[in-house]
Amino acid sequence: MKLSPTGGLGAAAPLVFLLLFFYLPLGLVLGEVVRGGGSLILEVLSQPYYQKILRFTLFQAGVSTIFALMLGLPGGYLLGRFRFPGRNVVKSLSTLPFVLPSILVVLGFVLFFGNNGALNRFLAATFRTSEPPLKILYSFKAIILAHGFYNFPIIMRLTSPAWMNLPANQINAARSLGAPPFRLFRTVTLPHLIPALLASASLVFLFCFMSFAIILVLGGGPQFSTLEVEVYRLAKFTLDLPAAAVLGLTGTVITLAFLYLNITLEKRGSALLNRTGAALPLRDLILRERGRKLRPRGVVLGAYLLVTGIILLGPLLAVVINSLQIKTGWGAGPEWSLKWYVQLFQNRSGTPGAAGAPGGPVSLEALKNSLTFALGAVALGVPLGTILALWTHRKEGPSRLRRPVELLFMLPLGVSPVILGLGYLKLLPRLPESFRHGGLLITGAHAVIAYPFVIRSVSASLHRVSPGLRRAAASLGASPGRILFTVDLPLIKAGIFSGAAFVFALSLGEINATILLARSGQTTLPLAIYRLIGAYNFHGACALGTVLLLLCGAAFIIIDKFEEALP
Amino acid sequence: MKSTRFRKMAVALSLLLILSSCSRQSGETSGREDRAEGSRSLTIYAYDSFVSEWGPGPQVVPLFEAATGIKVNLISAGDSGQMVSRIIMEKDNPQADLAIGIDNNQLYHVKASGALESYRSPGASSIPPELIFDDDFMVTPYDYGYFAVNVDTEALEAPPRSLEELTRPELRKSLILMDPRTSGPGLGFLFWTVAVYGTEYQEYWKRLKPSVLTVTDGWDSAYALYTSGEAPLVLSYTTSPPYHVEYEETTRYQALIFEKGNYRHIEGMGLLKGAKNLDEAKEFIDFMLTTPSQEVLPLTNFMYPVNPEAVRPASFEYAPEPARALDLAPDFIQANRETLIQGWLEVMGS
Repeated sequence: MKLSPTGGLGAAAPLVFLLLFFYLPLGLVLGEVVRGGGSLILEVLSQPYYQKILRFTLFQAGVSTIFALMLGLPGGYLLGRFRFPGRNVVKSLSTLPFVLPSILVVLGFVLFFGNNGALNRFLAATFRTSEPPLKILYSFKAIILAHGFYNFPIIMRLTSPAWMNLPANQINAARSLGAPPFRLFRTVTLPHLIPALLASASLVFLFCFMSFAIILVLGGGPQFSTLEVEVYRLAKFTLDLPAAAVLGLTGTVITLAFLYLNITLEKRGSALLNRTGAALPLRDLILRERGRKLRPRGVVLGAYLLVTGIILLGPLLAVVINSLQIKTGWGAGPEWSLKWYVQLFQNRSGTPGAAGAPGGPVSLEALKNSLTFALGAVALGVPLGTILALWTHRKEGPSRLRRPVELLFMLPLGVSPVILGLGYLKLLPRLPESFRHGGLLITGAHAVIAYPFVIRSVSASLHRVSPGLRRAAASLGASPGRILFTVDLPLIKAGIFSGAAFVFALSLGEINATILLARSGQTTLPLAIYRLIGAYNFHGACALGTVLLLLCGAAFIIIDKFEEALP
Repeated sequence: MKSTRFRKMAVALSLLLILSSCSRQSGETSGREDRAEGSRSLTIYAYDSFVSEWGPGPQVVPLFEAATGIKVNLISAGDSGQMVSRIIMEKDNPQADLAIGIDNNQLYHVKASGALESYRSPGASSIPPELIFDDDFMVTPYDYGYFAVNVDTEALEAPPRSLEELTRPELRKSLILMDPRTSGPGLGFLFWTVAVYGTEYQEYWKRLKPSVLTVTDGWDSAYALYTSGEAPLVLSYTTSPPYHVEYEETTRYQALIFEKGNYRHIEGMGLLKGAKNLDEAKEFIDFMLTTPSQEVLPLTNFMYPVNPEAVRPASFEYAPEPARALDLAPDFIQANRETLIQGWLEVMGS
């Protein structure tokens, strides 16, 4: 398919950002490796210590992905096949963990699952024990659980459009021919799910591969270390930048190999599809039949919602509750109070020095900035991702080039924030002074970091668009632009919207690039959260975290409403 | 058709880059013109929590600007590791005039890079000699503190009195530490154990291991875990309790002074060699050592001011200073840091 000329121009502006915020800084880091040459690479990679860490990194990412799949796949099915009260709320809530900066995710997890966490206090009070009944944290299983919590919404959100668009005619035909349910699943349903399943699983794998704070804090110690810890150490503590670059880019190469495999499998999977006809309609989720007998499927799904709901919402609610409490003196329990909110949002009074307790009134400014950058990132990143997905998906042109190019576009997913930060440090002095810090840069960086999500979710939807439809439209005389707007866009709508939700959430929670690119005095909500925790004010940080959650929840509900309103 | 469009895009991109490099040059010229007109300015790199709304930056900078008429551009250079990387990377073409927040563990590395220029401020004479951590005055100290194990007295009745007592069996899984590979205080605590136990430090860590609940990536998450009640003991500073006294009106959190002393942490600032506004930067160093700025530090940076004349807030009564301060020599740190961390990993990472 062809893009309209305006589409091409529209892509040019975001591509400038891609070059500036991604390929240029990455190139500068790569320069360190090139200068060191092959001997440097060998020297770093031949160390048994790094090899051991690399093996563990791959292992924990693999196990975490499997667990996230187990948690997320039923959710995708539930959202994609059923109507039930609160369906949109579930969909909207599922992306919330993404919006919190990782430090608050970890702390929320501790507040809920910790030895002194809400769950343990509840259980201890119920069963009258003095020891915490559930010792989940500070072990390998805590890492897996936290990764599952953080990532299963990706699986849920990216696979639900595939369930939604199952071809009704094929399923009905198979049923009427007497295919047993399992056979139906294997020959019709599964091939339709595989592209989205692989796409979401690969994203989760990449996130877990680069995980860092979760592993150290919740794993309990250095026996569980990932590559990212060592990259961080070399880049920020040892200040051995060439070695950091070698190790960081090794991770990138591995994730790239994984992405390449993923793209290949996804394409092969989509070749199995025969994409014609209408989608299956959504059904009502029925817990019990009219005769009061419980329906097994309804019960299983209901139980699933309950368990994942606790895993997902528990840590988030713990953050909200912590924001509403103040510690009192000896012996007494915490008191309920809006103190932290008042402190964060009241007007600045008097001299600049009179900000009072850490948590002074800068939060409105931070709120405004965060919202502006996130909307900007959506405005830049969603068209960029959609256009690139459409471009890599078209069937004309040399196919040998297409996969490497697609891989190049997906690269931001495979580069660690530490390495990208290093790249920015190298890039900034090379930029004009007036252009070095500020909102435009931050927005651009956020868009670049998040747009691969749009590519992923849009191309998962594109695989389900029949080329026959496009050919039919073309043979009836539709222009390429008209085909794009009347055939492709309506069919990939769900993919675009779930991509947009991820861009919005990732931008709202982004901290690594923001901290380096912000102008003097410029702040965002996650930056303020991070600074509040650093200034001892954990309650205040939780209050801003709650604001962030509410903001994101509201935005997701709006996004979903928009999606429904479109044809 | 497709390829021509992409070619056009490539041309547009390269044009943009050329344009941006031109504007860079023009930016530099206009900077020079500004100075010719007499408006004086100064660019400072600092680690993020100094620049933070709740850090010293937003309070010290307006005081300085009002006193001198010099316009300050205070830039967050990331965390303290990133700031040090940045000044070393830019040493041939410095983009700032002054760096704030180089500590005693980084000192040797930064000095060796040649990125700094020596300056002995008149105010330096009032700093107690044991805090002058760089005799060449490449880096001038502005505040200091001590690492200390902090205790939640509501959760633990008999707090340990030494590193050795931390290994008591009843303190099983009671202590939250930080990883020396990724955290300044984590590294400081490792050096502390080396300062006390010398070559026997690995043996000590073997004894300590059962008491450790978790080893976090940074101080922030560790301290939040501690105040959330996950463990009664955490590695922090002697200057941590004043926060709770000042803003939460509680004295339940206390810093422990250990029998053999506590490891000292000193933070300093230094001129960047070849900087454009060296005179203005010198004035800032002078100003940082005067009592008005020094008195901002206790409740924004939660450290002790180096100037003894600076009045400390009443809550600092709960920030006890140890009778004995422990240090390792900067050149010893530089030579042995990686070996010590690997030795630590052998014990803790298995």
